[in-house]
Amino acid sequence: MKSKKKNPFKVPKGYFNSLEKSLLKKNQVNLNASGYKTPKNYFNELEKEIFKKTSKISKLKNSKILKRFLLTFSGIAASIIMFYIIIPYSISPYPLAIQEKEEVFEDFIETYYLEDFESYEIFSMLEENEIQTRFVYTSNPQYEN
Amino acid sequence: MTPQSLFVKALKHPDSRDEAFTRLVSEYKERLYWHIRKIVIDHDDANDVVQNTFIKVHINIENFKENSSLYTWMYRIASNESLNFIKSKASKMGLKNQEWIESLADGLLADPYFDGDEAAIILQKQVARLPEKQRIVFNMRYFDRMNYESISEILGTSIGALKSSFHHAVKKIKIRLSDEI
Repeated sequence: MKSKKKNPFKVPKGYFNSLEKSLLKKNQVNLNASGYKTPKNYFNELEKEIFKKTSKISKLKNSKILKRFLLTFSGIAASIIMFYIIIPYSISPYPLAIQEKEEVFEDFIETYYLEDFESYEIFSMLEENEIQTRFVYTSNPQYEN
Repeated sequence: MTPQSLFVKALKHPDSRDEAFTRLVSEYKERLYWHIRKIVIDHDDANDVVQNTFIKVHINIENFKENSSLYTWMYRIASNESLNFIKSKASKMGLKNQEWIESLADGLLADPYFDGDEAAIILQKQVARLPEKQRIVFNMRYFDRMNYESISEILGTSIGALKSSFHHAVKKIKIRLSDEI
């Protein structure tokens, strides 16, 4: 025979399943002890200790990321600088030593002539066609717009 | 996306990592501690190992591929850390792993962090005399009431082999206890 009194109390949906789980969990913790103990307040201290250590690791991780970024950046910068320093010389058909010698020789010739010769003497050393190309005289100069 | 996947995502993301890790520690600290404690026996040793376990979890969470549950993965790390700890401690003392564990179990009566009765001490001593793998399986099955599927995932051993290990462990303990009593 059914009871006429209706139970007015209700439980949340799925309550008895979760109750079973939580009871099992509590039971497990008791069983886990099996004679073993921990110091008082140990688990709170443990939590603090773990966070202290992991936050250090996090900081280290972040600084490593920054370091890696800086290394990459400076590596790229160094490569670009090296590119601009080395490439012009490596493209030139003459080795660096020969180029330098030629430059020194040309400087020497230039200063030698400029110091010891008068303009007339310098002209006399040039060939005729060279002089002509240098002094083209036009009576009616035309300027570009 | 499952709740676990969402949680793992939060653990991996730099912005939510700290908060998620706090939740992870408060959820699992006790369970992992007790699992470790029964393997290494001494409280101070268990304290070192549980901290190392969480640090390893923190460092390696980015490599966690979710091939197993987070709980199983953490238990596996804890088990490996405990076994490695015993190995290094025993070798420092010039002992075999088994000898080291037996010596710890023999000293339980004087341990300030052990308050079991005589029966508990006798049981712990007999458990300590089991081969390493049988001992861990016995602890997980008998004390932690874990199912074979979970133990299999954690230890990477087939369920059949685990059942056999547990069966042998119980048999040995029964015989030794009957001899002692």
